[in-house]
Amino acid sequence: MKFSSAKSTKKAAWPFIRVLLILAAIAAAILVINKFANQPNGIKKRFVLIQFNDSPLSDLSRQGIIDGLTSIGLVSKKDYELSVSNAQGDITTLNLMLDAAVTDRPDLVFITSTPTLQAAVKKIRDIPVVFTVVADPILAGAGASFEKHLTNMTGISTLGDYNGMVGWVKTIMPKARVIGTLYTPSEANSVKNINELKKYAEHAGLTLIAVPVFSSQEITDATLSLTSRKPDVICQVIDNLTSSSSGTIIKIAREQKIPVFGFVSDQAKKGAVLVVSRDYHQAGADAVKLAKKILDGESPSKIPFEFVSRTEILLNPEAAAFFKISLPASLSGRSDITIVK
Amino acid sequence: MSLIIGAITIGLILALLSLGVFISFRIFNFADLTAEGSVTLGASIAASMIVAGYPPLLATLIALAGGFMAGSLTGIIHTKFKINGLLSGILVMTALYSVNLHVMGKSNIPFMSETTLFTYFENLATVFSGTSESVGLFGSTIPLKDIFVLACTLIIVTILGGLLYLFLKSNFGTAMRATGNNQQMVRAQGVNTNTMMIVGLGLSNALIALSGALLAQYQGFADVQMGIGMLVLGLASVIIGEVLIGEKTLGYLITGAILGSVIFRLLVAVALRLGMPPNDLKLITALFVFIALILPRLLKKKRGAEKP
Repeated sequence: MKFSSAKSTKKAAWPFIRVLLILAAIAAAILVINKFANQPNGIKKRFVLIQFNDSPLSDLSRQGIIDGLTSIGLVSKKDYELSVSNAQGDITTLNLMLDAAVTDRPDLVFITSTPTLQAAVKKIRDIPVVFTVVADPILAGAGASFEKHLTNMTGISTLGDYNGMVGWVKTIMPKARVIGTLYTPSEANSVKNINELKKYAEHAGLTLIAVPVFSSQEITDATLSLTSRKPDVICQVIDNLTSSSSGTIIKIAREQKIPVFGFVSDQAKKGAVLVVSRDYHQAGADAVKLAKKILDGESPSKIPFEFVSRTEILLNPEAAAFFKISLPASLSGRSDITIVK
Repeated sequence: MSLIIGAITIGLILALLSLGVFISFRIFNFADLTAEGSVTLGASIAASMIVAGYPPLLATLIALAGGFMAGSLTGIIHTKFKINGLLSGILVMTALYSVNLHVMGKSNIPFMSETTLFTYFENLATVFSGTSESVGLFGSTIPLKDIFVLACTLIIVTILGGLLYLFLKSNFGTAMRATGNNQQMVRAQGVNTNTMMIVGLGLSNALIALSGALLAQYQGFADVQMGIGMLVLGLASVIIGEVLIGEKTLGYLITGAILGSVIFRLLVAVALRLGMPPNDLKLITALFVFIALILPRLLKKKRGAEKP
């Protein structure tokens, strides 16, 4: 402790005091902002939407929630105020956003994606929470089953329609034996998705090849590695990484003459032959329907989790012709199929 | 108020990260990217052991040891194989990604109802006050257990900061600091600089892994992607602390690293509370940090100008 004896104690302590003062000043600033933020401004309900990162899934579901609120007759800035926050992929910021929501005490919190739900399970105890775009809420810790769950939470599961997808492969490409996909081992939802696809595929006598990919710059190599193993068709499962890079995957697969079936609606335009899509816009709207029940006085504990209510089938005849896939005549004119050019 | 308590708690947990970054960045003068892997390593070891039923304290200590091994490995690659420090860090960080997936067996482990260190801290609230009720503070109510979590984290960080100070003041620690300044001189004194580097980086990453282990227990899950961007966080905290405290002796630097981390989190909290458009969050955070960094210099200049 030589340095402290060299100076007077008062002088040595000054830098600490200065920093502590700065600390106190920032904390005080937050308190002041709180005071102004919580003042009544004539708006009846306050909602918060918390998202983990920026992806097509988060954009679609956010728009779905906003449109859903309009469709249940609420007017923005008059009946409700929705403040959206996005952690931009940073987990420590995500925690702070949940703290901010707890401090703010809104009437209801919307959340999208699995990491956000996990953090909310820990942080939010007494504000109603409605989640969406979560593949498996049970795995994320939101409850023991779809009916028996945390008392302040309910929401929408967007697990893909893998059974449906396998059925479509069988219908359109009856000779297919091997299906392939890229997946992201670092995303819990991705691993869950390939396991589900594998389950239904094996049940139908199909073999699944899954090639791992870790970052967006590896997508090209991973796709080439997958196509070199000659699957009959690529059924690309959903995760944040591959859904942002699906254009690349489809382009390379096309060069290698392997058709792609997808689970996200924008893939049909990019050249996928068929897309069996959980509608993420609808997932947002469905979350609002559950929120409506809570606003009407029902307890979230009594509202079971639900699967997203609408599954879209999109068909791209141009892509089908390119791969010389002859579509069964029975498909034409079916109202549940959207043709994409 | 929950936001302030939460921001300070996370700031203190990440203060261990900035202490680790302080060792590699300020003592050995290189940005050790191993940090991004060892945060997650700590989290994944702690999470998988706790879920497997081991006591949380043991799990946290093993996480610390795991971080030490990762850091030493970077040190060995750097010193024995003469690979550039930055690249050694990148190599170990890259390898740790797969290691972390193996440790957890999947990409994400949530704590359901497992007992963690933070459960103990929360229970202390009931032990000390006989109640786990909320208390009123500055016009809002705070669950008492959140305050106890904050207090316990503060105690842990203070003790570790003190231990680090004593260690770096010891003969061994002094030789370690000297290694960063002037390797040749230290070698001339008969000290093995390679050992200093390996132990130093080990220590740095042990603290970082501990930070990851605590963060996972605090937030209730470990995720393989949670280390991304952590080195930048740590560097920012160390530098903010250094600039604000304005003194270069060891005790001040250590305290600066801790307080810098807390201040950084509070600045993010202010940005959040101002209700920025979500896409601008990182821009605003960067702007706040920039202001925090230049403010002391501007004030000093002004004060200097007033003197005759």
